[in-house]
Amino acid sequence: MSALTQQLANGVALGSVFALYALGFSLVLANLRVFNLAHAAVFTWGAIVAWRLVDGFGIPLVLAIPATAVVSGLLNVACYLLLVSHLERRKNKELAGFISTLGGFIVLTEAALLYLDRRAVRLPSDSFPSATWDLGLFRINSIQVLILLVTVVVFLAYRWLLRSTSLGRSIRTAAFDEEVARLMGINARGVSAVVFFISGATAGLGAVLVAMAFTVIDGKLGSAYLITAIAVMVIGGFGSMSGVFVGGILVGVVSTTTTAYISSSYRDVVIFGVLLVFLVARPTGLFRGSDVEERV
Amino acid sequence: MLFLDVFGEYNFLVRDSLILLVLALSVYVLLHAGMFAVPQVGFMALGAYASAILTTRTEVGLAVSLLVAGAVGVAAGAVLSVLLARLNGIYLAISTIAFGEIVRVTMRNLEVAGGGLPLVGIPRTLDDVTLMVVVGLSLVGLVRLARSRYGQAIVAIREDPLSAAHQGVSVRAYRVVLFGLSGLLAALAGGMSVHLTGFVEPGLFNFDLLVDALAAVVLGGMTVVAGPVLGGLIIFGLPEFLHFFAQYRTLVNGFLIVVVIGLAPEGLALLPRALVRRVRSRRAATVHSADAPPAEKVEEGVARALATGGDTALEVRGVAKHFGGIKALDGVDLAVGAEEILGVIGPNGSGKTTLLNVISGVYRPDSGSVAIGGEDVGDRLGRPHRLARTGLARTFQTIRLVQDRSVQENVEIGAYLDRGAEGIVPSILGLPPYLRSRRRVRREVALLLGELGLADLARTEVALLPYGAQRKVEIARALMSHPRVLLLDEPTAGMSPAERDEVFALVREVRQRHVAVVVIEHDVRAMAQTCDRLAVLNFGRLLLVDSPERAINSEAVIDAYIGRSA
Repeated sequence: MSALTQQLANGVALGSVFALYALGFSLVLANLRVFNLAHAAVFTWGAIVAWRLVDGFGIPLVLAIPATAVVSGLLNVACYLLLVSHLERRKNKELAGFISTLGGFIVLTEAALLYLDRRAVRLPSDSFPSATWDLGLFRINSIQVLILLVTVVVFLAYRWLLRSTSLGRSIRTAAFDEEVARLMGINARGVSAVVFFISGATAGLGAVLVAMAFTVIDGKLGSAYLITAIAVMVIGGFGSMSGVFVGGILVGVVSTTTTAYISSSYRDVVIFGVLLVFLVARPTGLFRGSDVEERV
Repeated sequence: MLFLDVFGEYNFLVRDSLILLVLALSVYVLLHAGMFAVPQVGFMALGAYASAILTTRTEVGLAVSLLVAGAVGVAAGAVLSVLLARLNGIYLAISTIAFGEIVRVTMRNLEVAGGGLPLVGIPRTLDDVTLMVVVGLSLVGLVRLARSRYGQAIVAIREDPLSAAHQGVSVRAYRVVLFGLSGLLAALAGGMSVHLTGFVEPGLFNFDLLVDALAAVVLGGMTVVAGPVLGGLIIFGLPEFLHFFAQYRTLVNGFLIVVVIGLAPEGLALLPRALVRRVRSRRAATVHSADAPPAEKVEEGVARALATGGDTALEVRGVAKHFGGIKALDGVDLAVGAEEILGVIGPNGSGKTTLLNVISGVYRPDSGSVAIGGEDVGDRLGRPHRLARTGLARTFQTIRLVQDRSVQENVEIGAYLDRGAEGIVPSILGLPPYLRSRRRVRREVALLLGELGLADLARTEVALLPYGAQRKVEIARALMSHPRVLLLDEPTAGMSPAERDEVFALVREVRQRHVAVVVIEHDVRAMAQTCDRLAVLNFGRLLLVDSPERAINSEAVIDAYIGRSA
């Protein structure tokens, strides 16, 4: 076992959480062209819901995790209906959607802060059996195993959903051209609502895992990861699932290794330095080809 | 001078709000040009640290400190706009948010910036005169800018960057300048803030500050200077006076943002005007095309035979353009004489619009050359604003007008290049050279609108006009630049027969102005009556260029349209 391999393993686990956060964010951004800032607040509320269920109602964590996903998904659908759906016909709908979801983000974040009385809460430490295994090169604990499992399952589910189901085809058609989708008989609003649900549910899953791994839940939990998630999306390439996954792991590994070997305060410098390089040199990210030219 | 002390216990808050107003103005500068970019808090941090480092290490005064901060802001803005030149929309927003974070994180780690600790002991030298001068100059300058010809160009960019470029506006240059201006204002706000409080730390320039500034601009309205002022008052000012409200202040701001963007996207400053407009447009919905004044009598020109009219105005040689595997244009050669109308026909997907797009600079061709007035414009291909400067104007398949502005204002944008000689300073200060050129342009617009039968509609908002009249306004705008070559892409698409006849009459009249006209249209019969020659495209290749009778009777053309195998 070496310190480096241990940091790499920790980085992969942390990066998986980043990927889960960014995956839902990216799904909405790339397919619906909505920069849904409220996603950050939905993430926060996901953790709060899990905490309420486990700590307040004594529901086992195994059941609380799917319940949280559903509640977060519904919350995100509410965000779509209240913040985005009425702006879709606007000429500058990207800017309008951003600002409207910014408003929603503020309201939901403030509501979370008020609900928690601006304090931090914790999941009960006995809510998940903790164990650590030594695998020679590194040690891994039960929460990290759960994180990796959930991430892999979510990733495969996304792939299957987008590539092999008629819903996935509808989403991709709507992403290509909403007008065309309507003409093909696709209920674009319905598809958008489903996309928001999936996105929110993924955020909820990520939030529970974060709450378990780092134990602290506060009103700004989602905001804290927002900028990192943006970095993950840019590095991976907008709209590419594999890109978000790889980008997440990359940022996770960079994060743990710079913290271990340089200094935690340089962690963000390195992440954002990488981000800046990508923005300038390859704005389409790791997994995207060149953009098509605008047609008039 | 500290006359703002009259606010008593609130004097600090008033000064702080005024500084934040300057930050909000820097947000406005980019948003009102339709640039979805939010790097302002990053600029502010740079300005703040420039002033802080300078005045804690040297003995320079407030003025020098602010000048240096401003210069840093301008440089940062210009560099950032060049770095992010390829990004637009959401991606520009994301990358500028990231820029703000990068600045903050860097300041937290730089030794010279305190290495994460607050920098203290900055001289608290900000006096109210300086503060008011900066705020006042910013406000007056931005109002003047909006009223100058640059302001018109900025509106054109916001509404439709591609169309603006075709009026000769260099969108990229405007972006660099506006990023620089945004950087200047935000950095001045940063500089003033450290000289107000005497300290600075990276945590001040966080996402919450950006949210506040954005909220102010959105609430007030992002298209007029009054917007950020009113919004700033609501966001920065009011809550400070309502203590009981403090706990819910942010929550209420969030609600306000959602409500305003949903119900009154123009912002509160423009709400009264927007309400009046809504009432009016409901009444005006009864305007029919029959109410539009008839076109001036134009000479029913008999189609002339082959290319005549002296010199070649436009020459296209071997132009090819591929989209992936699709050869949209596959080696097209064309020559159009001055005072000639060349019609381009062909089945759907034959490359007609792509041809116009290459000539006007929307696309760079993969190979081939274009010459205007005998001058090769190879260096300008793919750059519409530079081709416009060479004497080219066009209309598009879809209407690309500023819908909420009057006919007069829309046509004036077409004179953008024509007014270039008046100079920046006179234009912004409203000095005589600017006033003279504005009078001249307005006379010219009035004359042109009269000739096109649009005189009575000069003050009417474009959105209220029937489709046919909007088309004519676009042609009028194109003519304002006195083009040598005019490209019309389906100018009568979706028109009634009467409207269509008017436009074709107009096209014939335009030729009399010594303009080479290239027109795309599907109505072969009307085209045969109007054009001097017809060029027939199929699968990106030119089938033939000939007199209308011979073109429409040619076997090859009939084959192309009917699809008989050749």
